[in-house]
Amino acid sequence: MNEIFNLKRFLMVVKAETCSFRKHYFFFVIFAAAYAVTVFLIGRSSFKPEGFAPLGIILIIITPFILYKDVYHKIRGVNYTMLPASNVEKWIAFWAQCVVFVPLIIGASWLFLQGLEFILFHVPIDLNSDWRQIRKVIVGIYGLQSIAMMGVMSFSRLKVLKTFGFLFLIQVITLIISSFFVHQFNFEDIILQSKISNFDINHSWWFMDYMKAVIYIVFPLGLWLTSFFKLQEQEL
Amino acid sequence: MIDLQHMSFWYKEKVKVFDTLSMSMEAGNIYGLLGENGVGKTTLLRIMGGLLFPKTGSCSVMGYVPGKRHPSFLSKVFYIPEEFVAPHQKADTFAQNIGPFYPNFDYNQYMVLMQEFDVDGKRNFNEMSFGQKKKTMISLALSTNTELLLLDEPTNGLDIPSKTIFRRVVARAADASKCIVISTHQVRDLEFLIDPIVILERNNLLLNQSVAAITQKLKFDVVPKVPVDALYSEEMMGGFGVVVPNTDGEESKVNIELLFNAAISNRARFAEWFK
Repeated sequence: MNEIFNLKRFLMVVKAETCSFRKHYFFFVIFAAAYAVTVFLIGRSSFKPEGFAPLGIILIIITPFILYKDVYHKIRGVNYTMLPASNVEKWIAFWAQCVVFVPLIIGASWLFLQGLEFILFHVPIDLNSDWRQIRKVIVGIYGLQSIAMMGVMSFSRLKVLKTFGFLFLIQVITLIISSFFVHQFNFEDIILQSKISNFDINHSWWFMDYMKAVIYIVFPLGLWLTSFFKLQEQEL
Repeated sequence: MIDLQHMSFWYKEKVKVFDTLSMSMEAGNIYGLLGENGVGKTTLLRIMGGLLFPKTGSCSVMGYVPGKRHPSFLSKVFYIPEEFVAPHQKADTFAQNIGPFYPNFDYNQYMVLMQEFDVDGKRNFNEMSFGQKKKTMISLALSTNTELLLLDEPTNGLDIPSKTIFRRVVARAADASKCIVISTHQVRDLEFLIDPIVILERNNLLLNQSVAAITQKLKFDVVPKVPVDALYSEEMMGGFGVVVPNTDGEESKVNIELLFNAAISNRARFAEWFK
């Protein structure tokens, strides 16, 4: 068991990584501050924290490429690969940095802007948000981020380019398969009928629920798992 | 310590780097890994360190399969590549973060070595020259006290006094429980340090012998005229440096450069003599 997971060793990995990523974390905070200052200088009336949200989301999605761009690089990746920790420990640390730490920093920056907006311009913080919508956004963020996580661990060079290439390939394959199903099972008629009868296919069809489950849960979980297996089989 | 059995490796299947290579390395030695450019010295070190996996055959290091990268294996090995990119942090901080992963790491020893190499550990890596970074990594590597130390061209980028210090600290670190493998082209820098000598040739091993075994069979000399039985000769100050078969049992001091050139120009005879 000690060879697979050891809490002390795992915490040392997190500590070592956090220490080497501290400049990136600082950059994330500076990025939020720069956004706030720029927006304020332009409008002079608000920090527009709502505008920061999409930028923060993009940062969260591309975090694996920012923090782990050197993993499996023939020269830069040696320290990481030779670090005496198990693949499980390294992967959980990787997961924690991307899925927990960075979103927390971005989220805290956003909350700070909201707080500042409230104190300086008396704009109330909207607590009646649509949680269903927020949940969808969060799941969407992690879904997209999981593609980046898989890409970072799968490709040793040109990680971003190859990941987008892979994504494009998946989309083409999905398009081909779905068009085959539409023709094969006469789904066109069902879609046509649903339009005539004002039938909301999104909320009424059990198949859509399964598809949503696949996209929102199985897809990111699968990609996280893939990134773990890729972590242990990479050579450099 | 290290056992390779019929190990083959290639980046492209048609161009094999190693073809059924078998060799072993024992603890208590400082191996000098020599070979022409592209014969696979770095590749061999990376296979031993678990960064690359053999395609066929086996590689066992201290009873571990390096490619599995078990934490207990990795904590017994330290690899310094020829080129490396140091992290953007202070050298001492890096040592404090990395050191605890190695059970025998001694921070005081690291500090002493840094002092000996005259490197300021409070400086950030990106403020250091390549040589200073290398000296920091050598200090860290030695202070981890790992059983296996893999050094790829460690003296590249070091100034002359640092090379002397390097030889001293490596010789001091070597003990019966450790195996140090140094891949190098700078044989003169390490002439009195390395023993046994391993010479790789394309796809396989040409020589893996102790200095004593080599001098038992070969004699190294500087003579005014090249003898007829010379395996290799080259003009140098005071005559010709020659490698000849040691027929009279007289001991001589190994000149690694001459040995290397003799080996690659007499492959068949070397293979026969040093089976």
